[in-house]
Amino acid sequence: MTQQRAPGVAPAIELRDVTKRFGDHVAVDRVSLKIEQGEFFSLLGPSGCGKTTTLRMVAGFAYPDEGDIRIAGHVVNDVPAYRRDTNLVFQQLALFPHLDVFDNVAFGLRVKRKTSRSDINDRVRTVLQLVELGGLETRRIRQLSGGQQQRVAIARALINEPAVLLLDEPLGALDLKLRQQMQLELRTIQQRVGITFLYVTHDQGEALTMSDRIAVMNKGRLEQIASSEEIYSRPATRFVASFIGDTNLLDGTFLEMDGGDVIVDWQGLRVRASGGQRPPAGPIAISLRTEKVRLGSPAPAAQDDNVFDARVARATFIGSYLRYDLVLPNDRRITAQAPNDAARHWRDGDAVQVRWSKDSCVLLHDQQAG
Amino acid sequence: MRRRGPDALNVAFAVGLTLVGLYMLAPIIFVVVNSFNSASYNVFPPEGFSLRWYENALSVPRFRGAFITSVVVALGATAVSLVLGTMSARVLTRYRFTGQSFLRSFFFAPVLVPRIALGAALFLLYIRVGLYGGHLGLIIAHSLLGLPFVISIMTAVMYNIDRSQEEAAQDLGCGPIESFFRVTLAQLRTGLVVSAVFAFMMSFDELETSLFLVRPANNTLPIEMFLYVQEQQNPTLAALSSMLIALTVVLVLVLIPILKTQEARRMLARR
Repeated sequence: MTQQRAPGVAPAIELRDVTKRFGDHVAVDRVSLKIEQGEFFSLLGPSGCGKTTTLRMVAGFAYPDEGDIRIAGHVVNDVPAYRRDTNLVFQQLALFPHLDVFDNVAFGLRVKRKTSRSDINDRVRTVLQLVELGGLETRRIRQLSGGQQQRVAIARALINEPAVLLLDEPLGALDLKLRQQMQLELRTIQQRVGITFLYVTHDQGEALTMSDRIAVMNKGRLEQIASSEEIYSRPATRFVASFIGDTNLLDGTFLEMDGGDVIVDWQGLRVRASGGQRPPAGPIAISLRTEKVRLGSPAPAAQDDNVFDARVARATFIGSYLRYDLVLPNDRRITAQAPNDAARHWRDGDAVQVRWSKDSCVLLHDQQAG
Repeated sequence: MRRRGPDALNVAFAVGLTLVGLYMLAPIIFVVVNSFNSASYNVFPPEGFSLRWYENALSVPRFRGAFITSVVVALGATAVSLVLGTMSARVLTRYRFTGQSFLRSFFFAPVLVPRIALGAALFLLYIRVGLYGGHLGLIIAHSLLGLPFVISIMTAVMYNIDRSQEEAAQDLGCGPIESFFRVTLAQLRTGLVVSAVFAFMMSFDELETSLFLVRPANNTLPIEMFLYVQEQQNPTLAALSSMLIALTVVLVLVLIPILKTQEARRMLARR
């Protein structure tokens, strides 16, 4: 314990009040977060939310205007990319077309000149096995498929055994099937090598599938940091609720407490939400996932805390499920999703009863934007 | 189009193309055959075989001096246009700024300006600034002619290099300068060789502009040949021309493996 930092205890990455401006535009606004060793951590947000800028600051391609970035306990604010113990898988992959697969992957080890030739051979082969590219050492990059190029990019970064592997939407160019397959593989690789992954994406499905934890960003700020499950089922803000998954936002005002539940006046309808604590007076919103809204004739059940008459404005067949746009007695619309195997399908104009439990209601206290 | 049996149309195409090829080759064949002529005047077909005109071409001192001048000037012009052209291409492809597309068109302007006009203009300028009659003046003039080619070739090559590649090299531990050499320059090699050949030939072959800019002491080879033919009509010039043709052929043979690469094909297709 001669030094301040304690290896293995310090977070792999720590950001403290990191701010980055481009002219008048604040790209990253006082972002603080800690990523633990061995974690698969995703930065999720729409394009322009500052997630890529944040990643580039961790990689050393951009420097923060304010705040500190620590990697394994060390402040690295002014350390250029080529002296940082991070490796980046680029969005456009940025493989070297004048080199073959082997030379691409060996690039990092050769540059650092610390590894003997036979060790380089061994390590390249090992990492190529890991990404299932064994035998393709002498191929040119242009001769590879998109998915194979993807794997080379990952191998080229992983072989350096960085403290953190950074990934900037690397699956963006792949088609859906391959993408889903690579998501699972990336997760497997990460678990096998145990390296910390920081993954940037605008694809919520991708983030939910792979991550231990997700940080949702919007307009340069962090909205919420939580596990995949919690992000989905307990969104902290309006933005998180609407950006991830399909949700109904019911804007109303707090009415009263009733036996530990929060009663909200939603434009004339009383909606019961399990809240626990008394919310502050004034506007409040409820996030209600579309799949939590059930349709059907009355069949009394304890968890049906909210039951309303509704009319089907439009029924849309999606495939594995159906989507219903419903008009409630207060003339507001909500959307419901019903699995394709539901006993009954409803048609446009049908009168139907809608119901949802108080536990499906997530209370959001932040104000509507604008 | 059908590509089966040799129908009349296919035969016509083959014959037509062969004739065009012969039309292009005829002057070269004529000059090469004539260079071995034993007669001291141009006659076709030749009266006999002789190498005396080669001997003569190599022994005329003014040709030797002019050849050296031409090589020196061409090397200088190649170096200048390669350096300026590569730097310009880097800026044109790496940065966004107003007037960019105008500048790109502007860089091709020397191709459109008549060489005679360029020569006359440079003559007037050089007289004032004291560059008239020197190697440096010729090098500047020839690099003006080579630059548009170098810029267009190098721009095309650089377009194909993703700018994030240098970042990737830095991410893997290279400093900024090492990244440029290991990644970008490594991929520019073909473009540089092709550009250099273009720039060299452009200069080595130049007559119209150079005519305005030389004193007798530093005539280039094309100018000496031009002057020689006005005094004598023996096949010495044919021998000299044949040697130049041979030199070009050797250069092309050396280049073929490079030109065959995918990169070169794309590069030439862009122009």
